[in-house]
Amino acid sequence: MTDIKRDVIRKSVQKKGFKIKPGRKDKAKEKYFLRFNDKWYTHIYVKISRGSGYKTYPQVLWKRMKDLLQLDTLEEVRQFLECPMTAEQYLTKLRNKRQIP
Amino acid sequence: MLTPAYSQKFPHRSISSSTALSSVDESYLWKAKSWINEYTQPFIINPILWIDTNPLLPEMSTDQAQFSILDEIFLSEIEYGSKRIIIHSGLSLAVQISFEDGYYIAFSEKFGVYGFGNDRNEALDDFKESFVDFYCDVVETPESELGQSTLEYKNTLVSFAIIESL
Repeated sequence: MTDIKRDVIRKSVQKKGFKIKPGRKDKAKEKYFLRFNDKWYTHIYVKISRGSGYKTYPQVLWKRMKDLLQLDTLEEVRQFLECPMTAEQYLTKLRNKRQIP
Repeated sequence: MLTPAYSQKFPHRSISSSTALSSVDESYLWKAKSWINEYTQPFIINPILWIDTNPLLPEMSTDQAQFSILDEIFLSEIEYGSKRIIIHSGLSLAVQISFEDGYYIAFSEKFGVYGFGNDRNEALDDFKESFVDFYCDVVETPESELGQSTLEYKNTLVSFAIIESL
């Protein structure tokens, strides 16, 4: 498994319903929370560094998103971040884990 | 890679899953056996079985097999910026410090929160920022705005720790 571009991660999480919470003042990082049915699921999130050193995310960093995304394997994380996993597929996983209704 | 001194002290931690153990060489097993003989495990003969079942070791999946835990620290308070999280009743939060592919990582297996940096202190600071932020995002968001699973998560967090402003 390889590096994943930050822009790809950003687009992927937005496609799956993650949003920046209004009112936050994060400077060095962007934090995207799951937004579903007009509710925030703030324990399910992705944090992306804005620094110039993080235009791509090596596996050592993106693999740590697994637990926060409620995923089970690194391959699932890769599919989530690189986009082969659709929003509906992801939401189905969350439903199966009783994270969303 | 582990330092030699660390490997001698914690030989089991250079191998983190039974899958990895299947390919380990004899010298490793010899070290593990001698370590067990030397330190208090007289009733368990098979070192592989011991490694897989020892409750003192952090649980790691095969996904996590390719890294070395340098250290594990236990925090009873986590302070960042103007906030301090105080963990209840003498409990503490275990944070694993590892070094992987040039990054130091500080990781809480219990909550999945992590921080990273170019050295151990940077990683730990990033972790503290992440954890305080995580706590606030779950606990301080108005309940009417949160989904049910986050509300349940909030109960877990609140029963584990409180937050105070400095």
